[in-house]
Amino acid sequence: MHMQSLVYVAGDKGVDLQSRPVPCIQNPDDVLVKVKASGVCGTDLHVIDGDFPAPLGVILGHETAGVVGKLGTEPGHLKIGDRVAILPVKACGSCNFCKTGRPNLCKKGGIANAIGLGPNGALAEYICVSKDILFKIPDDLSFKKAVLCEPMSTVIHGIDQMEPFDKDSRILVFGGGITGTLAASYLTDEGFENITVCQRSEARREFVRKQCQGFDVDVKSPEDIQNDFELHAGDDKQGFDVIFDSTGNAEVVQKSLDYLRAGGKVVIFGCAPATAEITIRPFEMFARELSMVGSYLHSNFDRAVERVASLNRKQRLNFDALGIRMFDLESYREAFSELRSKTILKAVFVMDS
Amino acid sequence: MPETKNLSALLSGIDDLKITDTEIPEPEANQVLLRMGPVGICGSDVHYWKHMQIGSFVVKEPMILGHESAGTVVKLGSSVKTLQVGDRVALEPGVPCKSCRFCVTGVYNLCPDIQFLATPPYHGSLRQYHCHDASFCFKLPDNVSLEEGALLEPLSVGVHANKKAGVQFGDLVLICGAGPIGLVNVMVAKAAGSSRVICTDIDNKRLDFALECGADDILNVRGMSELDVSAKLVEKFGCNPDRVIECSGAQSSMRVAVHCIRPGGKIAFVGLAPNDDVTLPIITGSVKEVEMTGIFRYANCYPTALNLVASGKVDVKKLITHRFELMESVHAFEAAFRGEGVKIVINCA
Repeated sequence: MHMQSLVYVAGDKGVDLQSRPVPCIQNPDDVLVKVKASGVCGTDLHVIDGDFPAPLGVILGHETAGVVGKLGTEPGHLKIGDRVAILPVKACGSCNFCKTGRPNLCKKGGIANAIGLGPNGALAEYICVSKDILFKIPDDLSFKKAVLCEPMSTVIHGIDQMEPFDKDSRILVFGGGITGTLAASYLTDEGFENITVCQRSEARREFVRKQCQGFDVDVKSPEDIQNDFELHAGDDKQGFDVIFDSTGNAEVVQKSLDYLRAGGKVVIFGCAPATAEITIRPFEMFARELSMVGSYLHSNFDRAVERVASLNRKQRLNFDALGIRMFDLESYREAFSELRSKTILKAVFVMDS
Repeated sequence: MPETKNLSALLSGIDDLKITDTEIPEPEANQVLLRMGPVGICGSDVHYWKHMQIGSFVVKEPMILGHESAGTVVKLGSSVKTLQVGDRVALEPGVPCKSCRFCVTGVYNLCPDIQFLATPPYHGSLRQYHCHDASFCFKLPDNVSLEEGALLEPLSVGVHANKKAGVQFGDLVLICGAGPIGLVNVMVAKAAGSSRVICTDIDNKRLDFALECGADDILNVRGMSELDVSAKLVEKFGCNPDRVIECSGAQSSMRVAVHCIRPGGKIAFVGLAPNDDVTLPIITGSVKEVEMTGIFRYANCYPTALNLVASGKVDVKKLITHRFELMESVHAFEAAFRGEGVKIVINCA
């Protein structure tokens, strides 16, 4: 049996639609999932551009939802027909990091072991994964919306790393892409009110405004942020208590330290180039008690499923507002082109049965 | 004498414990096969022997008992890299599913699918040969005996309870109950740097032993009213204690905990009462903003327990008062049921 899949290929093309064998159940805990919706993320673009390592020929895709099609001999609590979202990485479960609740730091739990970046991914009609990384989604959450569980799971972890901070905190989210927007959505859902999102392009700022309509979220350009900072020199409206960087741009992280108020914290959530560097002045860190903390990969996935389902019930996951467009696999060239030109925030491929 | 393969203490009914020959299990990829050594008897083993059930856990099929154990690795599963044949290890008896929300957040003791030795339907380790997940086997340094390895299990309950009760340097700690669990809690509380540990019980012999285990003072509460006990303890401490670790499961003792603890203090309930419903002076506790936590087994405590024993900070050997051979298991259980001694250990080697 064969299936269509989007594959990472060498050269300018970068990605190709190819026929591949449908994967087989091999281990007792394997489950064959019929993919219903699968998203493309910024990292996938970096892979195709050769900026992020992945094996040539790998089927891309790590943001997925589908239906349980076939079970191995040890399926746990899963049944055929269950609607599921997929956590892209299976950690080992046995090392000290796993046992103490930090599977994202497990040696086997890193990006290189994620579906679509190491093993074959889910921009295909089927994927075979361990039952341990499948999470049932509620009946009122569509597959295409459930694709957001994976990015939401990373956002929740980033916000966990930011904590504790109180409801009066002034929060700045750098980057109005999908993760920055989801971070703002999560924070407004939690009742935070002093939120600013910084995004370079006006087109993207529009998406963020639409998504956060009705909530107290300021959407600004980097110039606005700098101007505000200078304008409020010395008063209590200057600077931010917590800064969430989703840009992965080292210069932005550098600037964050300037924008922090005393006692503030910046979370380095975005993935910068491996060789990028910034300068830290120890005196500043000391005198103003600043903190920097990294955030890598996911929080436990159940929370992401719950949050996405909850936002959906509150009608806050409108794909038009989020700038997410659907495509079928055959239209992949158009999808990637729109992603690159930033006319959309995310492409989600929907598989017809 | 016919050749036997794997003599095992098999429970088949109430009062029906027999040493039975069973197959030697084959280790799965992530397991090791162990030649078992010492196995301690726990109150739960005795309870299954006498009742064939604890709460909703019912023994429906014959079940091998024992979960406080240590042994020697004799065979490796195909993907085991952390252990070698010949390694002496202590077994952490509960192997969780490793993927549910409890497991992935580090509280795997709460995993609903945990496979715990000698909790039905899973066989225990009171047998000559036993297979176990290698990542839940802890290699013993040369200066730690297999018997001490077996006792890491109850000691881990003490580690977990002290951690969750938040016992810190300088704390005044009340330990209620001087059975094995009370005693390990006394030992850990002292090792954790508490400045004064007082132990209560209704049995003088047990209380004298609590002193030998490091308690600074004791109180026999038999026949005393709760408020008298509370007042006497406050007098002995000099003020209200910071932490109480309740190990007896007696309602009166749980009530004393709430009465005597200082405002803002913490109580850990380890002991399980005979009934699910217990009456507590909750308003007394509330207006003092007391924190209360239940304790169920342990998670991520074996390494700490092992370090406490290996460094000499805790001496668990003194808890072993009786030793039996595997063939004498029924006698061992009878002694445990009569309440003799502190910790009874059966040797399978």
